[in-house]
Amino acid sequence: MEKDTKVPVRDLRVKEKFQLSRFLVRWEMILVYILLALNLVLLITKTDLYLTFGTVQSIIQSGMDLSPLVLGMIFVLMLGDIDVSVASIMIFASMVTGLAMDAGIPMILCVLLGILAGVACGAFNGALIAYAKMPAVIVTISTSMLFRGIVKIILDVNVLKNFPGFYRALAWTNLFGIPISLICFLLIAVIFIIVLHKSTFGRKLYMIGNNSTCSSYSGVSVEKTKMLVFILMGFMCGVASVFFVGRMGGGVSSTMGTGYELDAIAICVLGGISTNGGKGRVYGPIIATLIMAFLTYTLGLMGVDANSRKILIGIILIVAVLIPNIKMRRKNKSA
Amino acid sequence: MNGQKKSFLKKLISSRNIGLLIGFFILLVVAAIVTPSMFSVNSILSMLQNNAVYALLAVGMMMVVITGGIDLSIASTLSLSGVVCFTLMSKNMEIPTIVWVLLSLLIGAACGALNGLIVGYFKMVPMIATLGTMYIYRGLAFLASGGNWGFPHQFTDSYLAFAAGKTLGLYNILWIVILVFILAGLFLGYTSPGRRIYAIGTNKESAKVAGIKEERITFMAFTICGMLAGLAGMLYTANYAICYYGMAEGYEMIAIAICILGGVSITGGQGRIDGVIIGFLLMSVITYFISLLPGLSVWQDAIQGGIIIVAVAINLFTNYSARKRVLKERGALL
Repeated sequence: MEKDTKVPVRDLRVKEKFQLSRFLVRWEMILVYILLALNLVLLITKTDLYLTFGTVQSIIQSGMDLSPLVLGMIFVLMLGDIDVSVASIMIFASMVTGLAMDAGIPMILCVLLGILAGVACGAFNGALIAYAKMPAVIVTISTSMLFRGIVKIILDVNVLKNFPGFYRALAWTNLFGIPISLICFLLIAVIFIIVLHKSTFGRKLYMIGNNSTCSSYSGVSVEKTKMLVFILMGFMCGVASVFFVGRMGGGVSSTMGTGYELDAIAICVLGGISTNGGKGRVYGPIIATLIMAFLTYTLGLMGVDANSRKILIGIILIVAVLIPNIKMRRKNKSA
Repeated sequence: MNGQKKSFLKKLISSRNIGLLIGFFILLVVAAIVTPSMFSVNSILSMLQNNAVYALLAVGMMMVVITGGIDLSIASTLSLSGVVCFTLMSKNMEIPTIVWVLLSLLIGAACGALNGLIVGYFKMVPMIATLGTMYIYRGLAFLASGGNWGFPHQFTDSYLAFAAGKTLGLYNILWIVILVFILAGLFLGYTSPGRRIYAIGTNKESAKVAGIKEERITFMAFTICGMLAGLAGMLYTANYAICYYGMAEGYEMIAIAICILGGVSITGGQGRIDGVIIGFLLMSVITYFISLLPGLSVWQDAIQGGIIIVAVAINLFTNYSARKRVLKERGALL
């Protein structure tokens, strides 16, 4: 019994009394402080730019194209798995939409076809991982080569330019001063919050992430849940393709969007999702998405080039995982 | 088993690599029919020379994978060490080549040691840790090169000859690869640190109970992997006489693919050097074969991705059937 109490307490707690002092040092709140600090830095260094109408809007818009990937990735990481094929699936879905548009199929069907292609790719990943019990890392590494390879075979060096008109409007316009892409992101995020934190399906994810053997013995169908999560991931990749193509101004070639999978994972990890599975909330990554957008924009304004930014993202990724790791070890030692 | 000596044929059939060898020969036969030009001594040698860098990366990756980890940063390490060696070399042409070789080993070891530190001592998931360092090393490579490319006329002759020169009819880089294969085989098979790599890959808890310092072994495996990647960086620049910060992007996947093809279990604890050698040969033949067929070069990514999936599936299936056979021998299964 003594040993059981040593096991790190994860987010399976039922309910706690609200404590202000605790609430203020929660990981999500720390992220909010970082976000505010970033804004402050931007405000001080580039006062004239910051106060111009539209700067903040365009910063937010610049980070929204990978937001659906982040939301899907939360669920995958929650299981203790990982999906590095998301960028390839996104491009694959974009290509299907583009080809369908070229073939003259009605617009709404094209969008659906694109999303359906994403779902199919996700289902392929899911079947291999859940039912064939192959390790998620290897499967998604190879399917990322496979899907992008298929896009390369079909598109070669051509660029698809024929996309639904509302794509660009979705990524570039504002509604009452708020970017439409942000509104979409928050709406989808609310659904994800409800699913993860209020539904049985979400609770199952925490269970499987903490101990999959245990949950399969207690009657949770691990295979089915995993399959569903990867299909959902594929669906979100399809949704992301809408924002991505809009953001890119309505053109798709086979080499676009490389590295998006790593950005999405980095944002999730920064948002406090444990890569071991079973730990984290949806709120964190939502704020982290905004942080990343502000960070890249601010660094860009300060004249830091894209490759040096890569170093910074790498360091953030490692530090964000290291801090909770060290904290946990201390807790275990003192217990 | 049970004191009986198995005949050679039986041993061959039950060996794990038999499927791989059969696949290899089928591929060779197909290649011989479709592109007979592939089978001349010169083209085989140049095929091996072009793919030799993969072999070094695969051997390093193999050690990390056997511990149960994965290292995604090796391609970036390769790029960093190659860029640094080239940049310094082009400015100090009088310094002998061996210095650059040692420098590349050192840079690689430092990169690998950082990975090993984070994974071994801070207990971070290898995938995420090396994902982060992959970004960092690639960014550092860009900073070191300043975004400049290196072209053949900037290399000294002795630097180029270190990889692309010939000794006793074989390219120097192939001699290095052979040496690495032999050393890695001896290290993994016959030294106690080598055996410990298998021990922690098979079962971390029992290895710990048996007194193996798991942190140190993980650290060592990552450092060796980084060292080989660093050496591969110097050899890459010398072999192709070109250098830029984005070189070798995606090579880590090919190294993983070679390991998996060679029967290294991705969950750790299993894998032999002979399998990796066959995996390397198989991968070289496949890439060379694809490049010879007209119009197929765009298929390369898709084909390699497909091959990895199939290889993992076969790997898992053979593991499964081997377990079943053991249970049957014990009488636990009908």
